[in-house]
Amino acid sequence: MGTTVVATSERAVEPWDAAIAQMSNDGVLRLRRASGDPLVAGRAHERFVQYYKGVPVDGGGLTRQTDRGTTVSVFGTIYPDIDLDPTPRLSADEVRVMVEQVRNVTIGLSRTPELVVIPRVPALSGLSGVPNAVEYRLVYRVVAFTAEGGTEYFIDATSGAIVEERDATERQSVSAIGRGLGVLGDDKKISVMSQSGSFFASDLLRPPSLQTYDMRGDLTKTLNFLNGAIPLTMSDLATNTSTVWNDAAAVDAQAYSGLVYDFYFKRFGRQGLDNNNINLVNIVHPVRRTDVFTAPSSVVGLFYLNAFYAGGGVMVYGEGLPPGAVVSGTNQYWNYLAGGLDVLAHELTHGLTQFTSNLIYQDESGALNEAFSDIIGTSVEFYYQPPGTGFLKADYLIGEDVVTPGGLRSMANPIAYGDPDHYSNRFTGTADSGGVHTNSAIVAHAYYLAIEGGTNATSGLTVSGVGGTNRAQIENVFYRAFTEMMPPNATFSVARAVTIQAAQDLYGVGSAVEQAIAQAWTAVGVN
Amino acid sequence: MIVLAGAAEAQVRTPAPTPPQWRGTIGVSGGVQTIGRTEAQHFVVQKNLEDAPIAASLDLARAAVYDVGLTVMLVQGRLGASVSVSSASRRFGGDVTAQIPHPFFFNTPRPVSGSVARLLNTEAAVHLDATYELRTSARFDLLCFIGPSIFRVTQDLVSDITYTDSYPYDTATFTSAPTTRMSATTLGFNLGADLTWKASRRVGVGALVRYARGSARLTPSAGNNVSTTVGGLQVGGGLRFALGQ
Repeated sequence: MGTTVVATSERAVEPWDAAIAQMSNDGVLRLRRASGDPLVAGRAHERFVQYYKGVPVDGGGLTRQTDRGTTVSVFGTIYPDIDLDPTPRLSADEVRVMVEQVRNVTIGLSRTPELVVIPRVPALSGLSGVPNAVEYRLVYRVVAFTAEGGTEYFIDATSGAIVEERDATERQSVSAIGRGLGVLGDDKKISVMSQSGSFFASDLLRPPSLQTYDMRGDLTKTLNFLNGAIPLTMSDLATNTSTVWNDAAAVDAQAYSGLVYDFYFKRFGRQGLDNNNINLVNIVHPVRRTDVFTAPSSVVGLFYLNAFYAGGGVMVYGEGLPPGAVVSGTNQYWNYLAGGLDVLAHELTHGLTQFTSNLIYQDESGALNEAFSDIIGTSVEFYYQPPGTGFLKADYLIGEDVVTPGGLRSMANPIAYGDPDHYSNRFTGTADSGGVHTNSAIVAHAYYLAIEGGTNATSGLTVSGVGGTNRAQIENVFYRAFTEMMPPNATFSVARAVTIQAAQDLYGVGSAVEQAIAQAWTAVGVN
Repeated sequence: MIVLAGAAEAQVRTPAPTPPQWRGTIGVSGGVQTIGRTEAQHFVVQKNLEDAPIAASLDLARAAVYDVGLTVMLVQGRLGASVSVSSASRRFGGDVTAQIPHPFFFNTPRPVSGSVARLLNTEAAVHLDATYELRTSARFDLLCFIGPSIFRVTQDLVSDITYTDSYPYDTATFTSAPTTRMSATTLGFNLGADLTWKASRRVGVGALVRYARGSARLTPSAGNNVSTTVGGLQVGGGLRFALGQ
């Protein structure tokens, strides 16, 4: 029978630590997930699944919470007395055919029956005079859907008998992989949801809910949603009738927001904006492109030629301009903003900042807020794209894939875009919330110099960067500084001190990383 | 005298026993098909919108063989004909490898590998042979035979692969390799010899050696073709029963 584990004292967890180690070595336990605790510093959680001779045991497994490596608690159920031949007599295909005949449905390859060991308590077990007992059956688990709903079948792998049925209706929405061309015509996969023969832009594979809503050009509805007046429903999700998606903006929003989540996780071990897998909501087509020529300038500036983080995990991506139209003055064409990987990463990182340093969006702290978004936006590009110039290449330009030619800002050469590369040339007016975008270039340039090295055009000071192959070191320093130690009203000078401290924490006092960062700040005039 | 003496001698000698001439035989044998073989499968299935190449190496070891045959000799001479039915079966296993496409990226396969076990292979055959009596004596008959064979092969083949993965899906773990049972009929040949020791007028013990061979093509799914050889060297023994002496 199963052993229920509730171990919360040091004395109780100690034997389970040894048992988990032994069972893991023996292949009885497999680690399914390990994650940090976003609520209690130093805590981490592991989820183990029990296996019997390579076959997962339904319901068997343990969770372990640790505090800086010391086990705090262990919960779960282990079935130690399983004794059966794990080799099925029936093949998965035979079982699939059986279920197809029983339910008169066709079950595709993606629904291949999965072999599991299922513990079952006999009906009379535990009654007076009848010992508690669990019998184990080697079964195939397969889900079949009909018009009446879904059923999870457990089919005996030897006799073909139905051992158990469970309602699987709550699983009717199943994950699916779609593909589509992005804004720049690049073919990519997107994680979507399949339901009733249609596909919806809702990612069921990643830990958080990640959805892309198509507002179909309804600005009023968009505003009502952003103001909390109405919720968005499943009918508002971007949708497609096949796995090959046609809406490039929705494809990129869904794909890129997933990639940014992945970058946070893989590079920093972070679970989403709040480190607790807050839902991510992308909004595309908030307005109609064809309305741009009649729309108020404020609407054009926000919903056509911009993208923004609206709080609470909601990102809105501008619609851009109809083909052939350009912005007077710069003569730049604006495509769907969702088509820029660095743009998405930039906006999502505003969310990250909101949940961490919460840098005040005004003056120098606001410029630091913007700079951190550009820094992560560029880091994401270098993580996924090959270095180079042109579309879909990693570089130090911001928005270059969707605002053409040239993009919006340059971290390598801010002056070329009219932005300061040195603190002495900072914008001191009140526009743009005290120059948060303009002055962000000073910080972003310091980041660039810390990696690539080079000479600041204004100060003439030269920086020995860590080199592109070591860019992760600088990324780690800025991430640590901006998410863990940066105060909300930080100035550039404070940012210098915080990043140097982060470099010392991660790579040691006097390390090449610390020196590169210190030199970079000095080169841009921040002391 | 000489005539009488000869007659007398003829009277005292016991006539030499006439070897029991088995003009027809029913043989029942059991044995093994001694030669194993390795079969390779290479095919693709669709996973995450891309081709997932799967390779399987199936190790078919020796098989148990059962054989029942009827041999009839021509009234005159050493030629005869036989028809026999044999059945070989075995359980076998193998190794499976696959490249599982990543759910988020094109051209980012994740290797998985595992094994399959207790797959089934059966080969039933009907052999129609011309026989030739190489040697016969009071106690032994030695026949050789050759002729066409009709094989019916049934075999489990890997048809898919299942795996587990979890976020961020950069690796995958083999779970199982579902199989499909396929059958095919093919024409081949056989040749061999049968040595019978006649224990009595109607019952004997025989040893059988046969080499049978054919080839068949099994197609569990489009693009998943397996050319398999059937038969092999079969060695066995059993009982022989005389018919119509």
